[in-house]
Amino acid sequence: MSERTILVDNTCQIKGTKSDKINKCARPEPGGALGGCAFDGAQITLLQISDALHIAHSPSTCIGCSYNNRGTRSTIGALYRYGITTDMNEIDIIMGSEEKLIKTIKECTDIFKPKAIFVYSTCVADMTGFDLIDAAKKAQNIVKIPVIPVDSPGFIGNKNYGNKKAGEALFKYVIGTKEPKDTTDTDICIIADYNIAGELWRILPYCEELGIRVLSKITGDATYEEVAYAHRSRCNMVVCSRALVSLAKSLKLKYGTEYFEGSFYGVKETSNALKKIGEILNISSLKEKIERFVEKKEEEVKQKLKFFREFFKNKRVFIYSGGVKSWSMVMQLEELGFEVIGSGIRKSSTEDIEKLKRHFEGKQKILMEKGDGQLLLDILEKK
Amino acid sequence: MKSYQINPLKKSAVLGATLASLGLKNTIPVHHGSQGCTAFIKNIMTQHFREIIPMQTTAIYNIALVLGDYNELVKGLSNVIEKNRPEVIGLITTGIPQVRGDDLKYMVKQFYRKHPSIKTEIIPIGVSDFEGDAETGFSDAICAFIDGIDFYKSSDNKDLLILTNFSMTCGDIDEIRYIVESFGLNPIFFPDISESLGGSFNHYYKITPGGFEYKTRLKKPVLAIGIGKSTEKGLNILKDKGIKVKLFPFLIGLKQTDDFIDFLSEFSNKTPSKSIIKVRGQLIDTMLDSHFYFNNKKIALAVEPDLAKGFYGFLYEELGIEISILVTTYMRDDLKEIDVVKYGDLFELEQYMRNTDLLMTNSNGTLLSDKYCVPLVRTGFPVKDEIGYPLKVFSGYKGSLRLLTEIANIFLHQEEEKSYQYKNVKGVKYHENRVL
Repeated sequence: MSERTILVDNTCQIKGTKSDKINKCARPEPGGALGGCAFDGAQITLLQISDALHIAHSPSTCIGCSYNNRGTRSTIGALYRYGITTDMNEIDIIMGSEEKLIKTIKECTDIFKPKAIFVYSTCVADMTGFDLIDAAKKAQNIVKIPVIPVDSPGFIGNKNYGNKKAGEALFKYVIGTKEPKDTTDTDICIIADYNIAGELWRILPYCEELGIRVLSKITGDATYEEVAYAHRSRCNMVVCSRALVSLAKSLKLKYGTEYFEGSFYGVKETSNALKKIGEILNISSLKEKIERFVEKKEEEVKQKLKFFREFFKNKRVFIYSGGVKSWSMVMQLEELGFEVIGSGIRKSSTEDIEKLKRHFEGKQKILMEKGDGQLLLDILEKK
Repeated sequence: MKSYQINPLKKSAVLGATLASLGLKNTIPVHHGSQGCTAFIKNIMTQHFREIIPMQTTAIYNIALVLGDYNELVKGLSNVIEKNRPEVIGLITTGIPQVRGDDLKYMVKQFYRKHPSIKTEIIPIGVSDFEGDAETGFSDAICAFIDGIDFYKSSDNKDLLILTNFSMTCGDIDEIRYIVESFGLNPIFFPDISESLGGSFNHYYKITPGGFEYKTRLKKPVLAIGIGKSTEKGLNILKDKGIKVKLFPFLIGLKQTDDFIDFLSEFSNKTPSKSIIKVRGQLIDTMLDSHFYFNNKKIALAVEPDLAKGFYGFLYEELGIEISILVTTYMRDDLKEIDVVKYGDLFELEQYMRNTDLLMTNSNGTLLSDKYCVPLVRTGFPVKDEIGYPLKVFSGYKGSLRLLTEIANIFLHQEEEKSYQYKNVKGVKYHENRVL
């Protein structure tokens, strides 16, 4: 199989303190591991492209326990709620399973008529020395729609590494394969927002009002086509930075698209993100428009929140969340009037942690890297 | 028959073995495999039971995979034991060690040699992702556990060992416990998920707080009962150890429960208690009251074999509701006799949905029930979108009565709705008509 590297990737390096530099993506601790595997990560990153079919070349566990379990929402179709597995058995492991996979792809294409197919490799399939890329090529010749191999056996790393592998598959096989009908000066691409519980749908109206065109979304509520022409965007906003910042970096190298890491959690953060988009697009009329829009909205929200802030005054909060939410939720809760006493930094990238440290500077705050129920209860009792 | 699965009903044997291990006291199951196997199973179980689910993994990693991971296993086990102090560990294999052919028993022996001070019992359970289903995995785990138990004789003993199956809820176990206790016997369930995952704990725990108390030496029970045909393998092992055994099907419906009560009554030389007889009367009365609504109704079922057999016996043979299709995860001999049974996935149900009035399967059935506007009664595993499912009772007279009323009410409302829609055909807006 292809070499397991990603073009630009330094998000694995996490600086705890100066002395302990740990490679978080690399090695899960036996008997102390939490969270999903690479297959899990790859699947949740791509599943939202819901006019495409997602087939796991796996035994029944990988899909049987995980499908119809994603809180994402889509306007394109319900294929993201379907779980398809080749259901590998002993015979497949001994005799090889390429034929079975190709047959599955063919028959499922006839049933669902998707725009593209993503095929995921898993531990068992990979251990048999199965050549996924070759099989995908063969299948593509038969079904005449793109068949994208996602190299994601569970043992290669944790969930986050799987996110990156999915980003890599998009970069290698999808992005740049199609051209949009027309382009504008304000085309942007929102990377790594998965439209969980429809959160993306709350942001899109802002963009529309400001005249910013969201050319593609990777991958919340996305069609295969819009992901395929994401390279024509003029500004990439990375929302969950740990997951797909490597993709944004790769896109910058190849297509020169500027990117930034932002978040839509909280009033200030949303304003900052919108301003940053204006900055990168660099159109003076748009910048002014955003400036006015942000001012108006901030005032509006401030009035609405006034009533609630009274209730939340002096309430102390500890956030135990992962990834980008480690800092974005801190800001959001502080705006609501809470006092944040600390945050969990599990699954957070270096940039995430630095941002949080800068925010907490000079104050005694808890940064919890790993934790279980007992540690959280201890915090609860102490305070 | 198609070789792949779309929206699988089948859960792997690993999940079944994990659930069986969780029915023990002071335990934490450990998976020997990638961390994803554990994460998926933990996620789905937490959603189903809404309790803390203790679980750990040896987290096999790339290089370790190639080199063979005896060291990972030792490190993983010693980490788990050090952090959680369990009394017993079910060490469950997943896809990777099964493909590679690891000798788990040997590895565990090596582990004890390396750590002689550790007193925790480690039971290797060899199940694989690619063979069997959750139910066989559950019974395989039971076999692995009781294989290591040494039964000694004791004179004053009223212990009754009851082997449970994968589809039994915590409520089922409690109901059967109540029935057996009413005959003056002392039921011991193996495994007992009602004590470990049935709620009723208000503190944090790292290992299961209740359940079957596993020891290598146990008092010999007077009798061992298996509920569901999947427990047969376990019963055979107990039989070899010189224990009297008796197999019952899933105790849903009148006949199945009657047989069970008759047997207990004869065994204990006692007549059934008044309350049991009363509930039986209520069940028969409700069957009479509700039978009007079962005319010409069809149910589509998709559950594990034991539960499928139980439902078929009650719904078709006793209530007379037609079964349009019964999809199951494992073609067992006793199911082959039933002509509507099919091995397959939830997608298999799709072509029968237009001809079906009610769907009975797990939460993933919402994909079909939404699409075809067919009501869904959630049964099996996982049930993620219903509070209190693990406490629901299906067994005994009480459980059958509860199930019967649940189904009968759906059909009753369906009929009523239909009558309004007849008027609608003639041009009267039915919702206006209904309010006035």
